[in-house]
Amino acid sequence: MNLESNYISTGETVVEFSETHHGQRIQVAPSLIFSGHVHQLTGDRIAVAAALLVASKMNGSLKMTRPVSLGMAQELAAFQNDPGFSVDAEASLGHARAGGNTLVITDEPALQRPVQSNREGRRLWFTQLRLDRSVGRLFTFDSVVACSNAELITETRLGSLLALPVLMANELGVSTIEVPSGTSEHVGVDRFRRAVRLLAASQLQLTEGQVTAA
Amino acid sequence: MTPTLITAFEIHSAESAHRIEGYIGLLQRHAPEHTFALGVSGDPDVVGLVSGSTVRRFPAGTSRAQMMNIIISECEAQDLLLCDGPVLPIADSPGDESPAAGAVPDLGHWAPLSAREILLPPELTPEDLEDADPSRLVFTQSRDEDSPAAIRLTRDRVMHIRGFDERRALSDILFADLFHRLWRLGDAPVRRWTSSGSPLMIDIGAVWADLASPAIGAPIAVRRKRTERVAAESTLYRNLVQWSVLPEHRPVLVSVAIATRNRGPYLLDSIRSVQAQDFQEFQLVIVDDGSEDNTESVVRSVDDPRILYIKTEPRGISHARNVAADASTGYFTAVHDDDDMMLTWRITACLNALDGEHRAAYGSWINFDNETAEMALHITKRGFGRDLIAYSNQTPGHSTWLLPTRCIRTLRYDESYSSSVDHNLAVRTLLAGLTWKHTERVLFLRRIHATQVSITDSRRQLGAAQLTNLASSFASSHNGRKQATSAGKALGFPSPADRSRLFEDFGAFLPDHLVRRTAKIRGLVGKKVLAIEAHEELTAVLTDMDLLTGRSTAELGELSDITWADMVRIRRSGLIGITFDASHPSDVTHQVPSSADLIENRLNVLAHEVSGKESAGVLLVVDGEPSSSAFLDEAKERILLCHHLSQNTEPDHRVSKVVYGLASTAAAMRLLSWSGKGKYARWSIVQPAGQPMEAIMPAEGSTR
Repeated sequence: MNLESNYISTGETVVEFSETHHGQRIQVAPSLIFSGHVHQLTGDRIAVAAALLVASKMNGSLKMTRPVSLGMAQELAAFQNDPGFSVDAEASLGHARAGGNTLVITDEPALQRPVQSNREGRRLWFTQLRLDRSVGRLFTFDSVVACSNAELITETRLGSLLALPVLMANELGVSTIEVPSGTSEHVGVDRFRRAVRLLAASQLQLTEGQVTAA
Repeated sequence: MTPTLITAFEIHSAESAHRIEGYIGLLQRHAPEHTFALGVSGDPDVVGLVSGSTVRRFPAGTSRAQMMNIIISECEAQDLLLCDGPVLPIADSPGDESPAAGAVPDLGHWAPLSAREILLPPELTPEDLEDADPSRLVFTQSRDEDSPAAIRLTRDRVMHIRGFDERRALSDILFADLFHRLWRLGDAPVRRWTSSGSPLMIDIGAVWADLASPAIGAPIAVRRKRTERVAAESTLYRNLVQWSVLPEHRPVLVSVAIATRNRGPYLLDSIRSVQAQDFQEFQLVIVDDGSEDNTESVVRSVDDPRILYIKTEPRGISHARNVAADASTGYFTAVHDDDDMMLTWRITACLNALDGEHRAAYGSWINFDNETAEMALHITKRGFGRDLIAYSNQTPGHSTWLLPTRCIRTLRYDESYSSSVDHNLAVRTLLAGLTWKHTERVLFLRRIHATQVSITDSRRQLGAAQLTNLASSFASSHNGRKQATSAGKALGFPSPADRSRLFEDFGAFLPDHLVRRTAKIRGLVGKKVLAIEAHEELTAVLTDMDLLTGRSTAELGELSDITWADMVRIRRSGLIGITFDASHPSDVTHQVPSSADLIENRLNVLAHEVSGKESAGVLLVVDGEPSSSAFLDEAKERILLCHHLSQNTEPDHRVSKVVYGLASTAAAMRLLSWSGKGKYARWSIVQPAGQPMEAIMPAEGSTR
């Protein structure tokens, strides 16, 4: 599968999933479209997002215009459970861990969040809306609201939940993504562990929120 | 679980029949775990030699594609292994290793499988193969790699893509074509099944050449050309108008969705225009949004099991459209309105527009005045997308859409809008990632009348459209918006229909009260008229006899006073190739069936034929009966063709003309002179259309 990312003039970033078969371009899944021109996209993070969204359509190989690290290529093969999985991309050395912020995924786009202690890493609450119902994005110093069509192109809960946070992590200085409590149970513990390993290969920690007492 | 193996052969000799028995023996010995279904076509005395309950015998002339399609359609198993010729699955054949659950949720998994060909050792004859152990034989790998020896896939997937292409011209690229179309659907094959290594399959066609697939043994240049042919045809779906598969076995590919309310007077026209489609595997979902008129009785009066009628409480057009989507069983939805007329190619044109990159299609339309039949062409730009929205806010005409039903079910028509809901949904499909392609065709006739939604609700429609457009450009910068607008402006229009001939080209598809219609039947007129029970409407029959060969070369029939109900009946009969012409009901010159039309049509065909043989060629047309055979024998050297056109027209009129094809006008004049023109009452010279007619000897003859 070929992976290519572009900024479009209407204000979104697009990641296209295609195959080239006898000179014909074949769309293997609808493009991922998300609000804003998201900066600091890397090959590793795009590969992670793609694997989370459309792993079943990768057909044993990934061809990318951006460099991908060796570690990520190996982890993709493990994630796909396919030792023969190949990545056709310029090699990168990976990238240093970005800022120490934590992105907390929530369904509630509340703008007012509790005042945070300066003794712990900064927490950013992240809400994703469906791009066919809302456009644009909003940033406050402790909240981000962004839109994407991730939910419309994958049937995997983890894919629709994590693809956009992974792609925006660099820009937001995020090194940890926290999903709502119960996610691992919902998607299956094994699947969740595989996602943890995949994100770790791109220097992102995936954690699950704690159940708060009623 | 092992798949059901399906293959087919066209055979012409007892020897081939014997080989197939040998092949069955090999299958039973080396792949006993498989269930087989083999198709064999040929003369009865040849196919009768092939025994076995796994063999289905077909009449001579049935192609491999037709046999495969019929067998697949009647197969109860879901997991199939389609083999190109005498292919034998042996060691390491695909087991029940399935891709991850949910990988391809709708149509199941698929994979092409490579095969090795047996290279027969010199000491063995082809007959010895039946007793040999194929796994011990020598192999080569010269099979065309673009044409897999076998394809494993689900029955649902191959039926969805409408099987192998049945056109004879593609018979040598059957598997390559299917392979490429499966790719274009967008689901990657299961890679683990396609990996090389030890042979999964072996092809014994190299040894038994009479059974071999055309895909093996061809030189590289031939293979390259085949690949080019396959690539050149970028469509996904085939056999859209004619398919050997029995109607009851064909999957519903398209749901036509109509939302209606109090449009009883128009609805029947709308339904009939769907029923008369070239493409017949549709479901027609009519959601009645609480009509208080005769809508229900109109729908109930139509006897067609493909119609699903749902009546709801009145909750608006968006709700009705969503109900239709939820009830649809077709993979695609073709949107239609209760007051509009589909052109008969509407669905096929949309399906043919889809390719590896585009999953939805749209086209142009024509507005017509419901009282005067005045027509106006509306062409939309190619490349519907965000740039076009930025430039013109233009979305595809709603009744031209064909898009995946799943897309509507997921995105939904916005029920908080009472109008412009289609505009809103079209833009949201773009935001969801759907890719659209223009069919480059006019797809429907839009009835202009006083109670249209767009007229009664125009202010709200405008406001709704403004919000929708904002959604597409809200996030763009000033420069970004300018860029998108500029890109939208640069998008082109498809080639327009001829605006001066709208009535001539599309008038036949207007409602009955606006048009007088004739139908032209080509070939086997008597049988076809019998099939559609149209004796009453038959007004003229023309026969064309080639006097040089003594063979009948064409037969044309003309039916008059054809209604939409007749057009539905004609399509249901399975007859294709019948064309419809329109004239205005008030046009007195067309009230009487025009016998000249059929002859004129035929003369045009013959004129092109003669100009194909000689660039300056002309036809000499002489009224009367054919000359004696002695005259023809003498004239043979001078003429390029000689036909007798005879037309019988109701109530009791006969026209007879003899047509000579000659190399030039001068040659025509010489023949006329030599044959003794005085015995004919009238004659004329016809040149191919587009060339000026020459006026010659007007006192004695006439020119056309």
